Amino acid sequence: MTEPEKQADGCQWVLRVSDAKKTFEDGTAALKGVRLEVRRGEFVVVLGPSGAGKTTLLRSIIGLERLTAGEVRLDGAKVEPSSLAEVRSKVGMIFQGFNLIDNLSALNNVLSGLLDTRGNLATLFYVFKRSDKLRALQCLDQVGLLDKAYSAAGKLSGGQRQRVGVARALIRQPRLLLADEPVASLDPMIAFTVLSLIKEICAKQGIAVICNLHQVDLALRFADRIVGLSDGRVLLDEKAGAINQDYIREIYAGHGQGMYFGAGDAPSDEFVHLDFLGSGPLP
Amino acid sequence: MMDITEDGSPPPSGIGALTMVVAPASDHIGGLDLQSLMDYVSREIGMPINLVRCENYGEAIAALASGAAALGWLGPQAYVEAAREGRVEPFAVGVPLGGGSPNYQSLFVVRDDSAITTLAEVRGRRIAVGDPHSTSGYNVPRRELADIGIRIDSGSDFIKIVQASNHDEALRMVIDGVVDVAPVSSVNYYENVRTGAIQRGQLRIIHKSPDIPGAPLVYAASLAPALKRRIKDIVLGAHEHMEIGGYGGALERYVDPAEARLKLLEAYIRPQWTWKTYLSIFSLLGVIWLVSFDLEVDPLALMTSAGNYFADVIGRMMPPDFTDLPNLLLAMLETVEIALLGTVLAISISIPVALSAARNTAPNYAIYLVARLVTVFFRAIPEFILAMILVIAIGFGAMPGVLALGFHTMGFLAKFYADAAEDVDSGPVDALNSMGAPRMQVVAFAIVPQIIAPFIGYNLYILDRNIRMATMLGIVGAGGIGYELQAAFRMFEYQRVSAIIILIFVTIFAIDMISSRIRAKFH
Ligand SMILES: Nc1ncnc2c1ncn2[C@@H]1O[C@H](COP(=O)(O)OP(=O)(O)O)[C@@H](O)[C@H]1O
Ligand SMILES: [Mg+2]
Repeated sequence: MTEPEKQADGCQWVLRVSDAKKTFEDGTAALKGVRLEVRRGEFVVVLGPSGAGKTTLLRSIIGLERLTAGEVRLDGAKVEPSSLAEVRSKVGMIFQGFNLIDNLSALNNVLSGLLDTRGNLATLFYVFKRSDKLRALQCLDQVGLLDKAYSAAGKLSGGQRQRVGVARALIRQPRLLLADEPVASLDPMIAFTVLSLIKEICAKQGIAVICNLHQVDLALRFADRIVGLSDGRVLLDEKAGAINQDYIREIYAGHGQGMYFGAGDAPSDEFVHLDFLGSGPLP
Repeated sequence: MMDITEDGSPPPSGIGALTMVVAPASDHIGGLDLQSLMDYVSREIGMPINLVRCENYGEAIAALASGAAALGWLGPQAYVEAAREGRVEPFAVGVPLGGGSPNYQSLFVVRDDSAITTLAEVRGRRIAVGDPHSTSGYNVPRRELADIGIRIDSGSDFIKIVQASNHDEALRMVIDGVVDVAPVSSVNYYENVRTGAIQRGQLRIIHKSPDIPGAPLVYAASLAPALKRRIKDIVLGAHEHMEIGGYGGALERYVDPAEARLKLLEAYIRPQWTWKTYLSIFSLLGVIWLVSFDLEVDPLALMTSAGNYFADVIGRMMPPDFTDLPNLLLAMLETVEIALLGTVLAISISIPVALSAARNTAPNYAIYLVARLVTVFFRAIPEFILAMILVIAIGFGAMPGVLALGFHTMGFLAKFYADAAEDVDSGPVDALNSMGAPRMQVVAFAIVPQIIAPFIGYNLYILDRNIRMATMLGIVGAGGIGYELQAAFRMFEYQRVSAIIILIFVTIFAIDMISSRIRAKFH
């Protein structure tokens, strides 16, 4: 395994995506040459409206989609069918719909994050080693859910379920955490808490994060770096501190549909067609 | 109390003297508790340490954050807040005497003569709670009560909510009958029992929370690193030199926070399967063994002597005799027709019956009961018996077969539909009801679309099942391939029997392929 610190260019890249292109069988070009580099411990937000290619990009990183052209390198190793197991062992993933097993306890959901390396008869009956259980409990404690360890995941609130999702990703001790719209189904207050939690823990443990979002306000609040995607292309790639809403709005002028700029601040063209024909009586 | 910060002047921390702030957890903190430990630390580092008891948690946090205090004890909740902001660092956690673990619980205590026995019964009583920053006196109990729908921070669930300034005061309030119940720290409770402040038989514990991590001693993040290390080493080794005290009273020793964390996590480990699971599995195996014994089922015999006869029968069935294929096909067709008609009959009767047999669609309770009874009645009578009765009543032919299948499986379908209807999401039903839609339209719009997929699935399953059953009905004279099968058996034409079996198999396989295609369309 190549140590990222020792790569030829001397940078600490955890992930490099270069010139990634993806065209689906039906001809849809979802990625049209995307370049993305993520450093150790960095929180990168991939920002873009629906259909920009954010999900396709994440799926390509863990090899759920095969790129048409270009390549993805994780810790210097190219992502290809022969390296998938190795690549995936270094990645944790968090989903928009949580993707928990509702009838299992929060603890067993977290333990399911270890299954790639615990494929034995015991785990088939949900029996894990004491040390694994302690690790899972510690992850639950990190997300503030130790006291819910034995509650069924389905009985928890939305925010709590996503925190279980975070714990399930953390137990893998990943180098890279991929989060595809992790807070899209949570209310704004809870969304804020969950993102704070992800950011705080990953910063502490040096885990790099790629987080897909369509909310500009959240991106500006949490990202170290924002990569703006639209129609399969990178429109912007800047340190979050250096930019603001107006700048993003300018960049996205004409591509902005489906972007959320914050409460009471929806882009006006979203609403142009409302009441287009008037509300008068019909003949 | 906090005289050192009242004038806002910078504290003498780190220079000539140190200040330790103590949050208000127990009213015998001082003499018994941290004083002797701090005297010892002070001697060892050659610096006086002032122990300052704060009126509340906020005051203690502020002193540590500003640097006015170098050391502190905050209680778990306030500690977490201060630690997240990076203002304090934990360095030692106290282990109570005999406990072996630095964890503790929040206990709900009542007077022993109280009528309250469960947590749910505290609703509508008088309660003494701790400071809102207190973990075992306020935050954990609030969570425990919230889990059963009681709110500690709303006036409506209690007739009186008193804020006690510490756990000992809360305990006294319960003893004196000022309140009915109080959540207190187990550390304080047992220390009071140990010192005799609470007599045996005076109080009773009605509920114990999960383990709570013991609150650490902290130092201000700004303290010099060398001094931090020195103080930590002295405190962790103090129990070898003296009797030490801390939160709640006398302590066994202080441990590193990392060790305390491990102890906490260990307290949450439970076996995945308890003895109850193993007992159930062994009981089940035992019952199976007993039943086999009672029925004289002997798997060994089946494999040896009976095996030979089996091979003989199979041998006589080979090769299948398809010479009479046209007639067999006609009989098979008749069977499929009987099953089809029976299924259609079942579906059409079961829809109205099901609507009456689901609680959320039944017009009233009496009809609901009758409908459920009807479904049970027809499920209870085997179609075989139904067919025999019908053959006697209306004679041989397809008719008794169709009726028997139709009514018997109606009992199943009506139950399936009714259960599915009861499980639907009630949101759309509420929406249509709120807009005044008529009852049958509510069913058509809000319930039917939700159950259409299982509806199709059940119908296809019943059709499949009815074809298999229809072959058997022929045996009692209700038409179809069953009649041919029975005749072949009677005449010892085993090669014809195997041909019929193959025919039935192919038919059911074909129906299965068709039905999985239909099912896929509705998912
Ligand atoms: N499996 C697929 N087959 C064909 N087109 C797809 C597929 N997945 C995604 N797309 C298309 O690719 C584009 C990018 O989609 P996606 O990556 O999901 O965007 P985002 O996550 O930013 O909303 C969209 O136009 C989408 O319709
Ligand atoms: Mg997406």
